[in-house]
Amino acid sequence: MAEERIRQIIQLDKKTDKKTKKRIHTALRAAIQISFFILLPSAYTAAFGGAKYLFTQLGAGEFIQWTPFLAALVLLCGYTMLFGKFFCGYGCAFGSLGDWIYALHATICRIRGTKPKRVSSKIMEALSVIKYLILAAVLLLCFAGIYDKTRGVSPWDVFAQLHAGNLKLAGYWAGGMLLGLILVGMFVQERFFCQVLCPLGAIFSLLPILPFFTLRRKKEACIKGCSACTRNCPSDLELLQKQSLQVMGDCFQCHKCMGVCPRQNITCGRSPLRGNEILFTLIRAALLAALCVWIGI
Amino acid sequence: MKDFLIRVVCILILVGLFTGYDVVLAMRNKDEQIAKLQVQAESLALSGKSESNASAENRSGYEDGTYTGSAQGYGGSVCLQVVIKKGTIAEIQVVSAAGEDVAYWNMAKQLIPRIIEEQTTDIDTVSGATFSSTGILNAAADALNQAIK
Repeated sequence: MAEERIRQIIQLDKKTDKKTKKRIHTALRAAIQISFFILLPSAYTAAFGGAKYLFTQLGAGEFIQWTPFLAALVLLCGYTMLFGKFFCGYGCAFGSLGDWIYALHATICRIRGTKPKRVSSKIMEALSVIKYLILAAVLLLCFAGIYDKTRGVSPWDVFAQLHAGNLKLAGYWAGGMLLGLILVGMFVQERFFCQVLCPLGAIFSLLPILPFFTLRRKKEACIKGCSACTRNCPSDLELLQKQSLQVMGDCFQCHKCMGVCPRQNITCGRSPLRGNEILFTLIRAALLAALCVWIGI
Repeated sequence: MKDFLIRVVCILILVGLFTGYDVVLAMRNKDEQIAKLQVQAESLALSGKSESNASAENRSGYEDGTYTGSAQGYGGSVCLQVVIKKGTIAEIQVVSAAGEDVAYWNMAKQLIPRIIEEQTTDIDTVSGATFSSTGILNAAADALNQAIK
């Protein structure tokens, strides 16, 4: 039954030609990102709130209760372990904001006839350690019970306030400035915040991600010297035959590599699906939305 | 593969630690409660008389009735309806909280039963959901202010 449905999904996908397919995928991703941005804008803060809650309670010697925040953390972690960072690529409001700001940069470059300059992958790899330090620092502050005193510093709070239409931001100048800097970073480098700073992304990167839906390529079938996938990857990932942890942890499941691959050489790890079928994407997005609504975020 | 297994083991250990922590805390609380009850029972046996009558008296200073109060929450105003019966806060209902984010609102909402339980709005906000919490506490306080005799 399930097998038959998977076959149906693949068939439906084979019928459309490559160029329209790429356009459809881009539009589909944008549509999902916009819907999540409008309808579920606080999923990422709620989930990270769960992590903060855990350590606040531990530090204060209080009970850990099953709050909506904790539920958001646990369910998003479970979802990520199964599907990879699909939430980051399709569902996270802050990630989407970054994508749009970078798209602005790319458009400006296209009009001026230049290509966006990229920070070298070595530097990005070195910088990406920062997110673990931020995660550790925030959790330690929570454990020590002094996190509440840093109110007004978190750029996420400022963004959440702006998103809620609350423009009275007195006392938030520090967070506002950080948000400004982050926006500049997002403009310059694709997914800058997600790779370098996001503490929730740090948690996701540490998870054991199951190999079923992570991407890989058949390297022997590649055109020699072609690195279209790596050059189009926001995380500069080099897909491999065997899944490395880096690919599992830093891939945002944006599926851009699948769109540019001249040989359609990139597939899901251990399933008959390619991984970017329209219906499969819709199912994953619907499941994610259903989870969010179910736990009340 | 090895990395993957290490990660799985780490997660299991973490989950185990958190649940273990809760279990130990629950046991300790129970012990403390037993000790407290024992002390109470002893003092009751000594005095032979309880002071249960005192609490039934109307000491709160609130006039019976239904009052509505509102305050600034996260993304707009939070409006609550407080019912005072026999001078105590008997019931609190949410009239409107349209501007609140659902996740944060659900976190902050747990303050409502606590206000009724502790008969005061002088309680700590829910950490992580400060704005909605302050909205609830201030709206309830606003309603209670109107109820003062």
